[in-house]
Amino acid sequence: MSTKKLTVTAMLTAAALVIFVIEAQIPPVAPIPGIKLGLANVVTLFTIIVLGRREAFAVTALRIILGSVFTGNMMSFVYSAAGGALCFAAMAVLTLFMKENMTWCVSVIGAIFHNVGQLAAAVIVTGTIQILWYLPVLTISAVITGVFTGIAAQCLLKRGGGIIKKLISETK
Amino acid sequence: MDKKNKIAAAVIAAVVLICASIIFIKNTITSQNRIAVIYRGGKVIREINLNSLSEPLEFDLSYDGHTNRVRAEKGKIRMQSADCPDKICVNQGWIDSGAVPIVCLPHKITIEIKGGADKIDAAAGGM
Repeated sequence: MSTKKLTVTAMLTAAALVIFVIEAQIPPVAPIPGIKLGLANVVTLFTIIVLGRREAFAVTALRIILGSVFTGNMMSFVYSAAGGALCFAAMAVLTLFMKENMTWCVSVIGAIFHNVGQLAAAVIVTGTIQILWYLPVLTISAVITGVFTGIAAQCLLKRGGGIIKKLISETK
Repeated sequence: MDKKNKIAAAVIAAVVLICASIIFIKNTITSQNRIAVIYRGGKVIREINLNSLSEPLEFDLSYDGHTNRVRAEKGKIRMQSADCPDKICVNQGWIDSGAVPIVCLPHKITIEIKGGADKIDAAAGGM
């Protein structure tokens, strides 16, 4: 990994972390747990497309680990990690055959998988299968927030993607 | 919008529609004969017939040094208080249908409203 790539990855990790910590301060919009915007996923999507999967994995994993340390919510770590892992896996596969103009769709499916991962972790931890009744509600919420963050990522790719790609390829 | 994008949008719209139908059906089924079922670690620990409650019912669930206080009124149930740090279950407020259950993740307690036959003795509060 070149120094430039390493620096850009570190910078994106910092950006993801800041977004994550700020978003955690926003009070919940609905009385149903599990509904949130997931803006930090914009950075994961951007990194997958611009830098690659390995770098995006590092950014996401570090954001989840440091994020639960910074927000002081270690109990939610298991759920964040399960959701993040499944979301990342889904997006890493989808970006193989979906082009940049379908990033919104990658984001939506990633968001749905994030909820599936979190619910699966909750079912395993509590041993209560009834928690799966959250899935329809959370899926609808994931589609709404996923479209929003996906469009945000697409705008970011259009404006900043080329510059970053050029910056990295200069020192090969 | 190209063809692939249109197909993706249609599939996602269908998924939303299916989810909305599931919520609507579950909501309809469980809002007639409301029976609250409280689980801990997957086991049923208490059932309450909410529709036949004549006066509010409040009780504690204490396990491993942690306490959740449940309040049931006619047709609805909520987590009144909990000594967990996140208070997500308390903030969720009342539920009056089975659309979504109340879950206390740290204490592994779930409250679900089920529809179904009226077979639980209301006078006993359903123990």
